[in-house]
Amino acid sequence: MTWVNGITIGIVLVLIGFYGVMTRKNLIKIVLCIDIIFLGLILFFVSIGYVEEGVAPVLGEFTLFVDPLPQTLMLTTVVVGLSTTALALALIIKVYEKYKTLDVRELK
Amino acid sequence: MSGILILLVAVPLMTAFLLSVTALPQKVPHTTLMKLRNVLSVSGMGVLCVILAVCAPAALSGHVLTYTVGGWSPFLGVALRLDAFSFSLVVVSVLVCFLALFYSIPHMGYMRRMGKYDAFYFLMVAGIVGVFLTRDIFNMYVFFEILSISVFVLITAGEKKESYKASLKYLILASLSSALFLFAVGIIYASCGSLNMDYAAEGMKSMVEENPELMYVVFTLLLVSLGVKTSIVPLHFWLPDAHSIAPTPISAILSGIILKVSIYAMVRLFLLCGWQFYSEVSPIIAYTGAATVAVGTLLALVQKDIKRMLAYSSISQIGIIVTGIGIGTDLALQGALFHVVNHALMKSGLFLCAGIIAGQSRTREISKLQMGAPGVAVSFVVLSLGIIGVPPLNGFVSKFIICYGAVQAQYSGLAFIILAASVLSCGYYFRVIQAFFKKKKRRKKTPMYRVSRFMSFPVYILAVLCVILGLFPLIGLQIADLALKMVGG
Repeated sequence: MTWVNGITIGIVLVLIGFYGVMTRKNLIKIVLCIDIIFLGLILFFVSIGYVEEGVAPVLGEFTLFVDPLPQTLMLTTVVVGLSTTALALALIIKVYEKYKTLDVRELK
Repeated sequence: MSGILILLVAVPLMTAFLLSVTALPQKVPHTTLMKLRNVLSVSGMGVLCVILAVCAPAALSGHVLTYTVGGWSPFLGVALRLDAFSFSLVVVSVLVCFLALFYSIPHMGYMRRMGKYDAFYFLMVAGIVGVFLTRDIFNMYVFFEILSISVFVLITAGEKKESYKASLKYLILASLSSALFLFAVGIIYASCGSLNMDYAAEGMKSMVEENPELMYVVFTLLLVSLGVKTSIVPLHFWLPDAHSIAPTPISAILSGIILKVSIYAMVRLFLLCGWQFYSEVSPIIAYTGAATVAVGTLLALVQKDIKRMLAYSSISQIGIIVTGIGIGTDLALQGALFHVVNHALMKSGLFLCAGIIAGQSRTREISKLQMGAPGVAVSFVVLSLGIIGVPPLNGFVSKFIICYGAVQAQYSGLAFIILAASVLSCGYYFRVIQAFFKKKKRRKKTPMYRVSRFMSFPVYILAVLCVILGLFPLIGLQIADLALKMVGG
């Protein structure tokens, strides 16, 4: 078992995202960092169900197969993440119209 | 019989869809559309009430209704479950949402003309009811997201300048908290193999024995993520903005119901780990709860804006509930569950009152408030006495039980903090009540702010419910006791 697998890379992506949310000053970059967190989580989840040399459990004969449940769950998360990002960007447009800035330090 | 459960989620979703369709026709005059929307929303809520009335005898006699969506085995599929605990919270939230809907009929002119407000309102109701009913942890996350996304939109319904900023702040924090929640769900799935709470509970109990470090990670992730949503103390800073800037009916629901949704999730998920693990970690919850009480009360004292003050008061009341959950004895938990219901009724009533009073005196600054309609002022006094905890009202009963439980469990310091906070809360509520009784200045004649019956009746109903629950607390306590058995079992 190597340390370079989907689970660790997913967790590292989540941490990078959190670092970004805390340090970036631009609202759009913060929202993109939240997206990175969700991408990391999706990778983490899909890797949970990974089985070495497993196949996709679709029609046909198979003995060893990967767990399909995390993959189906992640389809939902993709949709949720998409709608949250869309709404966040729409709100950012409104904030820019009202305050004429995207810098969190000036929005206080 | 139990197939009726899916309707509790499906009816608000369907209503939201129908309401969003009413925004389409171009040539119909919008007064007709508004009437159509009112009829649709009221009938949607009415259907929900009927379904709950059908479920009531079974749920209140201690039965558990379960329904597996799509006929999958509960191990893999999504199960819905209605027991006394979820039933009591669903009833309270449907009631408060119904009353706030009446309040918003004359209130939300512009936003409703666009047809967005009602659609998102019902999406939010679907999210609330979904979180209460679901038995699947991932599904709980999905319903939380439905709920939060519609709340982000509803906060901006007043179209004020600050509302966009408050909503964006809430959105960023809520997304981070749901990311942490999802992370915890992933670890639970990896180690238990199922996301159904019944099966996950067994897996988590064996996880406590075999791999306690991982269990602590899961607990911390859940505590932080639900802590952002309930606004326990180091994570509370988004709440005053979002709750005070949102339009009044939405503030009432945010403070009254949506904070309770995450408290419900807390109780459900933490008790899955088993009592042994819970008693190890519960002091952390109890002390953060006490810190929340202290900070919320002290910050409420210095506020000048009435809705901001109510928002900080919510933080301190939520702290009392969290303390009760953290103490973890049967008595304290019973008090906490009763206080959840009480606070939902009282705080939503107070926010609705504050909306009317602030509208009548044309300012939200506490020192410039005026009495306005006497009925509303009386309800405000009753509701705020309830929150402070004056004997014949419901807040007294639940606070007293939590304090009694705290002393019994050797947490006398926490009981002292709760009592001190109650005394201090007189300070900020009486400041508002004092403003009612000052001399009236002659003002220039301005057109009267019309309080329609739709706005004042919900307030009266909530105030009367508080008095009833205060005079006959056994109704609430018996249900809380039954609910507690359901959670433990």
